[in-house]
Amino acid sequence: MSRLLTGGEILCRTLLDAGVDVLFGYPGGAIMPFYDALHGHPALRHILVRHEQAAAHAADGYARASNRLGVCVATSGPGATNLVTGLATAHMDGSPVLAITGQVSRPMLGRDAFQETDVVGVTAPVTKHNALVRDVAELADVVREAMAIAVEGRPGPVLVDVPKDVQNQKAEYESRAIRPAKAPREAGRPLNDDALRDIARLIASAERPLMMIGRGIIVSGAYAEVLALAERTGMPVITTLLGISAFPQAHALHLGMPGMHGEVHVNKAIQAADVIVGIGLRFDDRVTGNTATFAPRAKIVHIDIDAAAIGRNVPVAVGIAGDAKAVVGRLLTFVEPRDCARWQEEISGLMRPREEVFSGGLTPETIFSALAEVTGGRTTIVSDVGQHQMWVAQRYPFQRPNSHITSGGLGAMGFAVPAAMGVHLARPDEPVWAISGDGGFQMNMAEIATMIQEGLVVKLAIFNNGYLGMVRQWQQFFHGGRYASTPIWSPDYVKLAAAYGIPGWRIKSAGELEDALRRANQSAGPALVELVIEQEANVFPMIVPGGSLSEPLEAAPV
Amino acid sequence: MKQARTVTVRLEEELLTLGRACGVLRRHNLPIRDFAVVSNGHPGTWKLSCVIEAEDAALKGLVLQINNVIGVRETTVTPSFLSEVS
Ligand SMILES: Cc1ncc(C[n+]2csc(CCOP(=O)(O)OP(=O)(O)O)c2C)c(N)n1
Repeated sequence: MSRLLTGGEILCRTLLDAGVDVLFGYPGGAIMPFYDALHGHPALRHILVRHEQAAAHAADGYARASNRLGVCVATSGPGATNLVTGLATAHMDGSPVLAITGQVSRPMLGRDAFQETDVVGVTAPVTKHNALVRDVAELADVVREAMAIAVEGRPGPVLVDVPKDVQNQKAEYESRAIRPAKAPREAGRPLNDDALRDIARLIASAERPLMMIGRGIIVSGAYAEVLALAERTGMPVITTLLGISAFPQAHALHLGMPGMHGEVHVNKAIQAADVIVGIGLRFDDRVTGNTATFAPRAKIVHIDIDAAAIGRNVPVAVGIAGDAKAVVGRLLTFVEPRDCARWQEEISGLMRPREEVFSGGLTPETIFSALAEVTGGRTTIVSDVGQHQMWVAQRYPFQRPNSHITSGGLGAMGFAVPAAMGVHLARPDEPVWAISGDGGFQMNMAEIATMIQEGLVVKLAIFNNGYLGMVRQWQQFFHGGRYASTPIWSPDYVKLAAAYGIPGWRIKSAGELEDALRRANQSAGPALVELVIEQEANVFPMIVPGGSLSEPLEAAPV
Repeated sequence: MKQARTVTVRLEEELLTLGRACGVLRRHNLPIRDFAVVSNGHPGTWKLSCVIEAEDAALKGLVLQINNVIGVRETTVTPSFLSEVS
């Protein structure tokens, strides 16, 4: 007869059997039986964060870097509610995260017990699926089903809420495989040869075709297929914020990022295009600007795993719900070779050298070229949210697939530092750089302690402009220059680094840059580099919120 | 074009699933006229139906998102849309 296990032990075994080997979490009353069981399962490495938000972001970073499930754990009530921002981030960007939360014991449910929160209710809109476990007999199945849902189709976060008494209850445990992914629901045209022939015909007859790709390419691993489609047709390729590093940046067909802070020639190409093949993106409002004026001449082909994304924001000529790798792979069999030499020339004519908005030598260009140089391209860049994020997206010379990670859909400040901890665990053999502003860094800088205690190696770069820069920019442009609550004080970051026992540098000029970055990159553990940049530099070009891609701002409005 | 249509959602007999489907309805902020949940017909499922007056595009988006809710089996609209997304 098989031995009876407690719910806590069953949770551990279910995770181990699914191949989980690291969890990010924080203990508390309602999750203690699980932590007790964890103690007896050293193969499950637990990373003790300093705030549950960081646990969720770290699990998300781990998932994005590894293309595997990330797992975070929290206690009931405040522990669980602290996860919400991280879950919402993963939800928006389609990242598979499993959250396990403790809950008050079943007899206490609904009685406003100590640390009771309806976390299933709280997280319903920001998870793909969640569930309260009602009996230990169903625990393993509920967790396995949640894991299957997290990774299938458009990936996303799931949450399993486990009452404390269920964690203590005993049951038999039977190891079982996670069920295979279900086929995505169809939307638009069924994926058949007719639909693919129609797409091929559109591409063949277009004068100005473009490809726009998003994170779906990274999730699906469709790099080779997309590259082949681009090279066979000569279609220039645009990468959205989350599509950056899905296509070789230095490739002659790569144009850059579209949308609010997209390059002028990229947005103008969209406005002139007659066919746009969008793959693995959702045409969100930061990409399209005003949808009524978006790509007015273009027939849009939309391929995405999420049926609900197709045709939601822009009208489509052909929509196919399916996995990017599979669909583009089959599409290639119908696409005839062609070139787009005239169109490429036309776009080249729109390109202009970037006007430098920085005075002084410490510009994003100098910083990123020095960083690319010292890392030799062997790094993952995790950016936070704000001006520095846009500079990274516009200017960092990414060379490898999936080497750029950021909070795109939610735009959650505080993401970079904890997410980079997850990236480190997914890619332990190379440095990971978390690039933050002075605002976002201060949101989760407590995680340096986590890095020290758990031996996580993250390199920290802080763009210190003394402001919540992106908001200050909007105040300058749209609110009469009234800087309401955007100047932000910082501690002495070099001393802060010292307090944590890690090396730190404050860089004020380009001359000091490379040496500090190199030493930080080479140091054995975490290291911090503060970059004191110009205070009131702005991100250009800019499409005003709700404006047309045809009307970029290239200087501050007067 | 704006037209009143009946949206019918067949879903698993689970308050959680019902709550999520209602959450999607709520988030779209469309005017809902009649609303009913019944448990007739298929065992193990409930039927949620509501009448919504909205643009076709808004309603199509809503239906696709409700279909994404785990535990929703099928969503139908009557009268059905004339031109489907191709
Ligand atoms: C959690 C959260 N709070 C508020 C915002 C709004 N917001 C967007 S950018 C930004 C400023 C970021 O400032 P900083 O981190 O210093 O970066 P910078 O823009 O200066 O590069 C703010 C406050 C946000 N995106 N996320």
